[in-house]
Amino acid sequence: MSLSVKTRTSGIVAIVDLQGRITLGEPTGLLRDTVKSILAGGNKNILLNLGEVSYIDSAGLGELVGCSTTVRNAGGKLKLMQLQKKIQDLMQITKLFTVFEVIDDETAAVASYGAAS
Amino acid sequence: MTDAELVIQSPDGNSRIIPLGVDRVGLGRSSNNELCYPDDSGLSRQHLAFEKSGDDWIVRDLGSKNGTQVNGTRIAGPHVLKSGDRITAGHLVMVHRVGGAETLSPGHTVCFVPEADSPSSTTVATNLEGVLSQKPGSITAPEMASANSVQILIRAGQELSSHRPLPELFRVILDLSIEAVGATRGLLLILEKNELVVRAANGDNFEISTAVRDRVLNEKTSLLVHDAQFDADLAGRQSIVMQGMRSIMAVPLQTRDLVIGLIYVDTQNLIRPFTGADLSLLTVMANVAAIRLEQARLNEVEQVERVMARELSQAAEIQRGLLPSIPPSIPGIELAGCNLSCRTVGGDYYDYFLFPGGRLGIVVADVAGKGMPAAMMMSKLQAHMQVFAEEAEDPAVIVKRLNRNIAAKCPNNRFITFFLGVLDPETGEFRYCNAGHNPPLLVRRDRSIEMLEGGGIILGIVPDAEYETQTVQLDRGDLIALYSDGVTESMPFESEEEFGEEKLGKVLKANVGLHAKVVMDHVLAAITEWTAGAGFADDVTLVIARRQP
Repeated sequence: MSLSVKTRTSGIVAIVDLQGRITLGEPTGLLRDTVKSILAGGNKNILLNLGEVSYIDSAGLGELVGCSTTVRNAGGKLKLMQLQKKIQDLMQITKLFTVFEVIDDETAAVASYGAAS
Repeated sequence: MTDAELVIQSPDGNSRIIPLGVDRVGLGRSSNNELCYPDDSGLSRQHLAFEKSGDDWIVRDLGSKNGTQVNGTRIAGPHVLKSGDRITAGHLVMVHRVGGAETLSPGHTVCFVPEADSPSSTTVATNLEGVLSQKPGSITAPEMASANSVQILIRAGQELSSHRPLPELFRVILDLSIEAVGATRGLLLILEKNELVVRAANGDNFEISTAVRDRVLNEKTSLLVHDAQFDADLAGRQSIVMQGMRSIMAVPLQTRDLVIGLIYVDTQNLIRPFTGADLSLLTVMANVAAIRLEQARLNEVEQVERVMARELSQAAEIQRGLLPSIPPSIPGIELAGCNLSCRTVGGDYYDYFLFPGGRLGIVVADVAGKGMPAAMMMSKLQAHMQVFAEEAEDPAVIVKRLNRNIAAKCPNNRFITFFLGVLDPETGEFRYCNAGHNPPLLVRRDRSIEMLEGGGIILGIVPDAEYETQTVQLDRGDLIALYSDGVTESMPFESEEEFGEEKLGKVLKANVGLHAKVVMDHVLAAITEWTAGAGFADDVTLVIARRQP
């Protein structure tokens, strides 16, 4: 599997540490299922840590957008943390940084959820 | 409830199943009867007739000498039959049945009974290996090898060798089994996702003990149970029940080591209960049938795959038809474009449009994902684009409309990166709008490079997103390269180093003085060399537009 996922909690935020490549197939399914199970567990504040993600293809990017929509529809917020240069470029080309809130510092990211609610 | 039939049991223990197809079926010793039994001395020449009456079937005694009984009572006039009625005439026993296997729901057909009063019973058990290893001269072999058994197996082989769809095959196998052993009723059950499903039934309200079922399925054992003596093995589980049935057999439908289901038969014939030879015969037949079933299943899977492959190649053909075959001929402009799908169909799109005044529109787009889903979105995009290009020319106006339409209908994990540029061949003005697509490269005649950056968000995410048209001047000898990420993200085997914009730029710079088609060929050659035969991991789309010097 080219993507591994670990979920932890910090305060009111569920942080998902992703590692590897988010590409069409199992990885996108894993990402979707992870986010859905966090929502099902009752937490709507989700922070995806992409620090260890080296590559996202278009389907992976689509899944990120889909997850963001799912979380928003559930009344929550999905944010991204620590984008590698390549992923930043991707966000720049697609202009998706206008959709995602991206925060580099974890403490600040976690705190941002408290501020919003 | 239209499929009525008769199960006719003759004194030798054999059963025939006669579908009641025509409106009248006569029975007697005379040869002008549809059902003719010349040797049954208990029958009259014209003994009885089955007649259709509306939705029902009636049986009428035709003034026979010995009479006709329904469920043990001699009938005087015409008698309306219910499913399960037993008709006796001469030495024949007939059971009237309505409704074939297809109309039976498993719940009503069979139930598995874990606990019940256990009458004394005796059980004979065997298995395929045991039956096949029987040597001539052993106790059961002569019975098994009787001429009758051989004939039955030959006939079964013939029936099963012809091509039949699976549902029919189930039915045929069950009928052959019932006939082979002279059973009254029977069931064919197939294991589907660990659940036994009725695939053919002759009769209903079967009760099969779970002990029998489990031994057949788990131990690949063929069982024959008579309720005569107490059988310690099964009776300990308190679960053999036969609701009036006195003799049952259950055998696994097994191929090599895999049990795919079971055949269950029972008989009400007290004169001729099942024998060990019947059990052996049924065991062998079930094995032959199981092999045939597996083969039929594989055929069906193969068939489905063939159909899908054919549909996919037709889809690919349709998709190729949506892309330009040759670029339009525009004075002063050289054009070259290509699309190479990494799968049969893909999500990349490029197209040319001619606007009033001779202006040329160029579109390059990439639908997120791959394969058929991406291809379907691509064809939707193409259709929208055809319409919007008729109605407007300003790139931002068209892109805004496209985005609104696609956002409304597209699944939330799908999007499209899209670039539309409109080039005026007279002035060289290039007006464009980029919706999240890889920025095209503008290569000047003097080999300097600009990236056409800026623009709005990818299509399909934000329904009311704003887009704006940007403008750049294309001088004579300048070229623009539009491409999908399949070009820049091409990689060799076991490497994550991408071809990238820089190498693309280098190839373009080196060849800017050449015709657009030649430039394209150089780029494709460079990618092919870069990937070193690894093939394309993504769809590759490339369009080169060059203003003639």
